[in-house]
Amino acid sequence: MKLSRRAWLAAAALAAACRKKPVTEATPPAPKEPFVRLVYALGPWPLDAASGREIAESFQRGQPPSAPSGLDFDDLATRCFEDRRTTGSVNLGRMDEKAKNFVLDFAAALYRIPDVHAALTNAPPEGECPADRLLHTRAPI
Amino acid sequence: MPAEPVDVCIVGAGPAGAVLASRLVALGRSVCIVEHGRRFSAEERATLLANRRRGAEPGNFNHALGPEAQLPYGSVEVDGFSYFQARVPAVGGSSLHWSAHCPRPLPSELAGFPFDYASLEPWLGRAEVELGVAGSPDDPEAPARSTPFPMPAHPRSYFERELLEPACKKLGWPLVSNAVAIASEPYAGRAACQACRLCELCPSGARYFADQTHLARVLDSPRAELRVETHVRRIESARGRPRELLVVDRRTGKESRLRAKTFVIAAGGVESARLLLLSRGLAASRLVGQGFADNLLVAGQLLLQRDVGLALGFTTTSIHHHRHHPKFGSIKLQAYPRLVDRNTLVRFLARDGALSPEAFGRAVRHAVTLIALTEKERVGRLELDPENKDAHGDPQARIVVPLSKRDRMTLDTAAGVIDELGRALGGELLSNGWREGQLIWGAHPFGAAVMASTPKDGVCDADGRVFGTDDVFVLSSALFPGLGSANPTLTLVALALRMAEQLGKGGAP
Repeated sequence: MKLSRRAWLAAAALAAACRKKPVTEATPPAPKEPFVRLVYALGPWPLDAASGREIAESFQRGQPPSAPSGLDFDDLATRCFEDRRTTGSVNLGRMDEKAKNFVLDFAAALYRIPDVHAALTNAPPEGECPADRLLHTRAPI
Repeated sequence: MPAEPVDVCIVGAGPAGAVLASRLVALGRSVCIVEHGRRFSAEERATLLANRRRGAEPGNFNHALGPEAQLPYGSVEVDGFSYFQARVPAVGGSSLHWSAHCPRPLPSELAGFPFDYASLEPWLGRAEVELGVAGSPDDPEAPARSTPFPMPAHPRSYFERELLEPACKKLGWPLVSNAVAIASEPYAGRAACQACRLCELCPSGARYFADQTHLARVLDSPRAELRVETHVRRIESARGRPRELLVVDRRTGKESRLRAKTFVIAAGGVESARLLLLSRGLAASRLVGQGFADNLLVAGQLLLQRDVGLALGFTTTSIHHHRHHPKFGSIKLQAYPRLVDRNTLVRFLARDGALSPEAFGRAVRHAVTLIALTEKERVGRLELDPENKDAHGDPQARIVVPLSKRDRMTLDTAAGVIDELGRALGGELLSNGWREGQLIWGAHPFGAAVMASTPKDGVCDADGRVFGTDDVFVLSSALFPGLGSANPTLTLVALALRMAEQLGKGGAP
């Protein structure tokens, strides 16, 4: 099953884009759905990457952590998205404990997705055979 | 379909039952394998793989089966760990999701068995061939072997070569290649590992799956029958009547009875003992269920100051120093450049009040996981729970596994060993599970129907035959009087091959 060099390259390109462009120069519009907005804010891709939406929708169909009662999810997602857009990171200092814990759990669950993890490690996604099956023996780039 | 009674009826289509069935058929015996679960198709496997990559459900075999496939039949929990997750009630059994580690037991780890390492050694060699084990004889303290590994070990990772090995040298702990049932080169119809790193589903088929190898072969024979989705309630042994297996077809709910010249219970470390307990009048020994235990795991998360490179989906090396020289219980240590505890890492990164994907990415590339597999004393028990019944009104198993003083000392030692290795690697230890009250069950249940030389000391004899019977055998890790810190499957398959030889020659040995 030697396939998808293209997908590997796409993952590497995504990771590279993430490293080079933590803050987008233009201001991409925030997704309307709060769940997708939060995934964009925490995910390892630029805020206008199409792959972010695909992963967000797939993640939502899985079993993401659910927001605790009393939390204004819409507002939280907006704040996180704006933080990421303006500073490149999500500011936890302004959140109360409940919101902060939820965001941390959400981020941990998001980074458990193989394709998201792959975007961070410059590796082809798990479950996909790389062209080089000795990739684990190579020095990191 | 073979005419009843078949020569051997095997309860459970996991690796032990599959290897036994395969050898018996090759020796001209007729077999009927009764399996609680169903068989997974290639299409279902492809769907699981696609789901897993997207983080969607179901993403593994147990999720695909759903709780309704097994919770009504046996839902055992110990301290929050569920044996529901440890086994897979389907054709192939635990080989559907195992880590495929196949270390040989040390002579000291067989100390409680009614035979010694030398008499088991040839069977261990044959088991390595059956499972397709890749490994290297590079453990300077390993006991002698009479046959080479069927395949060379998998190449070591950048991290193991450049960081772990020098750290181990500093500590005087040799780094040993792991023996794994994952093909390092094409082997008996299996592809070599393609480094896809999703070993649990192993799309290339490099890892051993009982359903794709031994069972696939055995079902081509007219002497073999596989009954899927068939729940075994008990073995009935009424006086003056032939012994019978009482089964229920889970699809129709219809009960029936199966006869065989010999019965082999190969239903795993929990359910095998439970079946003995449910089969009143079968096992004479009062020791059934007594001495239940499992390996315990301690995990640590380490963050280095540099990129550690990539890893395969399985660990290719271990440190056996504390197996050979145990202070209390034996400990097998592994370290690999892979993040398993994202919660700890996320919280660590959040300590400065911000969460940045960039920082997370950097940390992921610097993360190392340390895992110690530890020996547990046999101080637990498995019994029938009158308050918790299965779908047929039969009591489920209840397991009580206290930690002994020696267990705590072993776990303290394991946490210390993780600290030491972390220091030698020069990283920052973010977590050390046992110190934070986290304990992971090893999913290697054993000891609830042990083999012994006399009925006074065990439930089964040295051949696995239940004391007091001529025709009922146990073939599961329930037989093991000890496990050390070795994964059990290789030893179990060695026992399966030995049992097949005995049953195949002339009925019950």
